[in-house]
Amino acid sequence: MGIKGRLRLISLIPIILLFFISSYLLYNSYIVYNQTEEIKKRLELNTYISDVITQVAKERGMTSIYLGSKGKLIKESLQQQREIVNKSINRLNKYLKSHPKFQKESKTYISSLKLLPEMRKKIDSLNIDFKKAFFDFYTYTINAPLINEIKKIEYFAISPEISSLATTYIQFVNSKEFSGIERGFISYVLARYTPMSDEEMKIWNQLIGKADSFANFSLIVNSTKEKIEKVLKKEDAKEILDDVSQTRVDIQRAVNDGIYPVDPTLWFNLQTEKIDIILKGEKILKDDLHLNVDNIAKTQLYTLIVSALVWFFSILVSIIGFFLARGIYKNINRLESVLKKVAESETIVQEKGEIESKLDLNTTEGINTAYEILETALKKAENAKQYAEEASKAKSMFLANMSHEIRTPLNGIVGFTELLKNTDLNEEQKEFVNIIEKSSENLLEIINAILDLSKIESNKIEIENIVFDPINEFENAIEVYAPKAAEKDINLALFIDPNLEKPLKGDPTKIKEVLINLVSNAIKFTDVGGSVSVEIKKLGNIEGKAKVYFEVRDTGIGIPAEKKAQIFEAFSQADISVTRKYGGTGLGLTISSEFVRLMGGQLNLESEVGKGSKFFFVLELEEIPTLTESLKDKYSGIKVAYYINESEPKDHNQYIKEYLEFLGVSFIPHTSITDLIADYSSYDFTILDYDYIQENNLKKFFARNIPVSLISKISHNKKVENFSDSLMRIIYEPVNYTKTKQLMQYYIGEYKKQKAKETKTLDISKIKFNAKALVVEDNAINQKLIKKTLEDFGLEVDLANNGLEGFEKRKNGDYDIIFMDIQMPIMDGIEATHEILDFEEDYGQQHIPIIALTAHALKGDREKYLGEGMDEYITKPIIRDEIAAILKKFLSDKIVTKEEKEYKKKREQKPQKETFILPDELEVEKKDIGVDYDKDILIAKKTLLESKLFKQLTDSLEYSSDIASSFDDLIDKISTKKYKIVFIDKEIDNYDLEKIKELKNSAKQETKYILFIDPNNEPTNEEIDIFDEIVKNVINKDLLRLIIEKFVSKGV
Amino acid sequence: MKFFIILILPFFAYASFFREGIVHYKQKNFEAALQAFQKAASQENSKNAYYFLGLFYLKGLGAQQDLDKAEKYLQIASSFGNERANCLLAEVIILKYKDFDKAKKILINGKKSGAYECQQIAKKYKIKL
Amino acid sequence: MKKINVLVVDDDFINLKLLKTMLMKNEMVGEIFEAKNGIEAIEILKKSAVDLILLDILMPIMNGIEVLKIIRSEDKLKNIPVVVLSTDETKKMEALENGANDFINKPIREQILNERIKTYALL
Repeated sequence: MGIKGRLRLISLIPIILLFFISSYLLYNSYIVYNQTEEIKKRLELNTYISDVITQVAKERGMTSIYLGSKGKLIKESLQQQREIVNKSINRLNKYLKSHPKFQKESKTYISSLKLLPEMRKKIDSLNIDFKKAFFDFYTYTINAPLINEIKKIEYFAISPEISSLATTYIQFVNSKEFSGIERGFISYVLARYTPMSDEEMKIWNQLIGKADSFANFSLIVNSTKEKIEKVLKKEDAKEILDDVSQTRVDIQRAVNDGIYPVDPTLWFNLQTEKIDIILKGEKILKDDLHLNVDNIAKTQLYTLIVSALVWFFSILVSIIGFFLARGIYKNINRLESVLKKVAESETIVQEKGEIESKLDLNTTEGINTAYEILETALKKAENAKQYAEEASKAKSMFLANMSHEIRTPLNGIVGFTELLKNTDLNEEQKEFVNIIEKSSENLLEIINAILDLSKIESNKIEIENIVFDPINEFENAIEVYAPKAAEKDINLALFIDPNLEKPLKGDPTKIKEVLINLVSNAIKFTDVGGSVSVEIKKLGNIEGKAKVYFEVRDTGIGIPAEKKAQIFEAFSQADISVTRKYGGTGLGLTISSEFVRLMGGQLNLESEVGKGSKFFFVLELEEIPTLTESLKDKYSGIKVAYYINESEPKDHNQYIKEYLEFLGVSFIPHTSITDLIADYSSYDFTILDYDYIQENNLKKFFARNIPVSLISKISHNKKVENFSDSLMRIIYEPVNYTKTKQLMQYYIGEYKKQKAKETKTLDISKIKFNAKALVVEDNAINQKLIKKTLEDFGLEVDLANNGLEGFEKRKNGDYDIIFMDIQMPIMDGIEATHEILDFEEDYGQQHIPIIALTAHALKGDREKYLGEGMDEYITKPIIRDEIAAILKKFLSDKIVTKEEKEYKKKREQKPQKETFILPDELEVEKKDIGVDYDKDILIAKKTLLESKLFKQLTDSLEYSSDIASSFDDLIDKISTKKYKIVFIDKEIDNYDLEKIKELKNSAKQETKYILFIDPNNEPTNEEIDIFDEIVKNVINKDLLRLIIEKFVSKGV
Repeated sequence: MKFFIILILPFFAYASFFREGIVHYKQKNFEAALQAFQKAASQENSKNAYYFLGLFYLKGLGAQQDLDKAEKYLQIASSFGNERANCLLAEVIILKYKDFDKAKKILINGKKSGAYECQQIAKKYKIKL
Repeated sequence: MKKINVLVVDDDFINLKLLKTMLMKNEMVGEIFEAKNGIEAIEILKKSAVDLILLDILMPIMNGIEVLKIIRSEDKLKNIPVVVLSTDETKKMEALENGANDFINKPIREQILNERIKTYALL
């Protein structure tokens, strides 16, 4: 049998079984239930019939007396009884009317009953034989059919109990009837008062047997049995039954002579009483029968309902099953057809021939064929995959080799061309060398593009994740194109947001490649006199990452809308004519777009034909906190004038403004040269653009000794060099931030020959860390490098040669930070980290930060190392700024200044029991401090609370001090008392610099004034002049001590 | 014997005068029987007691023969269906009214009902049935 | 300042010549050794005192990584700084993992080479 067949069997057979069983049960219970209903109805009917029988029996009995007395006795009672009988028959008829079924069956006995009136007439006219009336008519014609009707209940043997009850019930009915017959018959004999004939004796004996049969009932229903026995065994019942027996005996004794000692009426009444007892029994039986039937009915009904439900359920399930099965068949068929297709495919046919004809999912062999097909298919696929993998591998190897093979000779060309350039060459040779250089650079560009593209296609591009200085890197990249732009007289402007002064983490190489590609394209496709502007702006920060916006826009030929989509596709340019005119491979944008995508951004384009194009993208790059000071507002106070030719606006005008303003410089634009010259006193120096100004105007500036910084394109360098002596400085386009910065530095440093106002702010870049580091690295050189760098930062460094040593050292020593190389013999960095972490957990040791040293610097590597338990990672070769950032992050509480470090060293050398230890110099000079001063220190902080805190500090350093509660109080105290040092909080209310200035100038003593300012603010120049020291609000006891000692020691 | 029966009598469930009368009658204590039957007839409404009363007064058992009483009693008994009473009534009719025809009719009926007394009486008075 | 001896290992003679030329211009460089492959390089290292090795990664016969491993396994040699000359990022990282100290990308610019020399000479 096929699978389908088996499925069918499995799914349908149980359901069908269920269906049939439930059908049978349903049918059965229905039948039985119906039967119970019928029984109940019958019982009801029987009640009516039984009543008729009883009454008819009575009538019969009375009739016998009547006939016996030749109509003299009980005429009236007989009439009454007849009425009763009629009423009873009416009730029966009424019942039958409402029960057509019974009515049909009642024809026999109803028609008999209809003979009653006639018979009665005969009886009334005494025109009938006793026996005829008594036996023939009443007994056989009337009552017998009635009893037969009652007996029908015996047919409903729906249960043994019912059967038993019914049988007993009929028994009682019979007994009742025969008792009635006996009653009437013997009454007649007693009334007649003659001896009984033998025949009559026989009849009587028969009657006795039947009349008493009720006493021997066998009933399996015990409850009913007990009830009946109770009735029969009751005192009075027993008495009556005994009396009957006794009376019988009396009569029987007298049958021969006819001298019966029993009055017929007595006998009649006695027998009636007996009949009553039988009736009682009959009623009990009928009731219990009813009850039983009811119970059965209930059960059957219940069964009926349940089996009906099961029946429906089985139908439902079989329908569902049918559809499910159909679904499965469908699937099997689909599978079969799919497999057939596979079998028909070339590869299979090749191997296995016409196997698809043997495919049949229904049979075992058919399935085996299917397995065969699948196995073959898999094998083929496996082979194909292997083959493809090998091909891919070969391709990659080829790529790698090619890359190397191609780059190597190119390397030689480029390298030696450079060297050649730097040797002595004549003009012609120089020209030739330049051409060679350009050609080789072009070649290099093309080859890189091709290799990059093939790498992109084989998904071999990896994005680095290393630290770089964005301003530096990008400025350098763009700078390369300065000559090219200048050649075409294109204004090349570069704006790099000075806010990007913090180092970033990313792939600078790729970003630069993209920028170079875009700038190169821009310059290529822009006509003479146009402009190309590059803007790199910081949009904001998201979770420690800087959002950097890159844009390259030009005023070139533009890109038509239809071509915009294609432009990023490989090898397409706007059209062939473009390639002819402008050259290029057309690969650049594809690669750039891919690089940007891999770095998490998207290269976008806006362009209008004839107006220009704008390429832009946004990248999110991690920011590295730096320890170098921000240059923001560093050159505040300097005013610089700038000339803008409104008819020829240049992008870099805006950029220069932003750079200068970031540095704190006041940017004063002028639109007229004459005004600019005239206003010379209102600014420190001016920046002019060689594109805007002619030589004669320039000379005017020189004449007035106005310092000029000149912006020029590199193509004009020969000309511009001519006035280099008169110029303060020359800046070549593109003017970038660095150049602007350098300009300001130059101005301050060299030009003005003033020492850069060291605002005596504690130079944060000289910050050291008082900490101990463990370096775990197997390479001796790397060890030296890292050790040197860390020691530069003031750390003490221990070395370990492998993971195991490192682990041991960490266990025994107390370090503040661990640098862990990854690749090491014996135990590598990851394992060692695990060991250390386990150790720390087991022994409850505080965790020492572990920094991974790795050459891997790809996206996603950070998570990998952090997952292994490291706290951070830095790439090899190590970069100072990165180390600085790491140290700042993990050892911020160990920061210490340089002086403090030295001081601490000395302190360690001379442990003394004094509360504070002064270096040698201080000790000496302290003696010089005279007793002129009232107190050492006067404290004037913004709030009294702060002052008190401050006082606590100075008290602990064992200096005497006073607190000024307000600025006025401060003035007061200074005027009246002598202090060595006065600490003033700039934030104090009524802070008045002038007043302090007055005080300071008027004071005779050499009181030192020290200003506390908010760390985010910068002091004004005036403040710098007036105060001896300006401190950013850092409440560090050691710092404070140093400051105080600085001035107290220098004292008098 | 008499005494014994009287003692036992109350133990009979159906101790009744009629029964008593029959017992006396069987023992040929006709006076006692007559008394009992009289009580039975009047107190117990016993119909068959009238038959015996009629019988006694006809045959002069336990009392002087009184054909009128006999006739009266036997008529009552007969009306209640006592066939024997009919037969005796026939005899009374013969003795009192010398109506043989009427008597014959009664006797024929009586024979039908199985009362052999009718045959006896017919034999006695030489009436052919 | 003491001059450092440099060993250059590259299978391409042009590159070799280029490097040699650049190095000769650098004052901090003393003796310059050349090797065309790993075996030669190790020979030289055994015989002469070398302070800095410039190692090309992609070489036939014995590639740079293997050479690096051998160098790093020898006690006498493992303290010599190695700067790899790379054209490929993955190889570069592999080299750094295997004991190289630094890298220079090809094509090699003189300025960058000089910076590296400076760094390692000062060690």
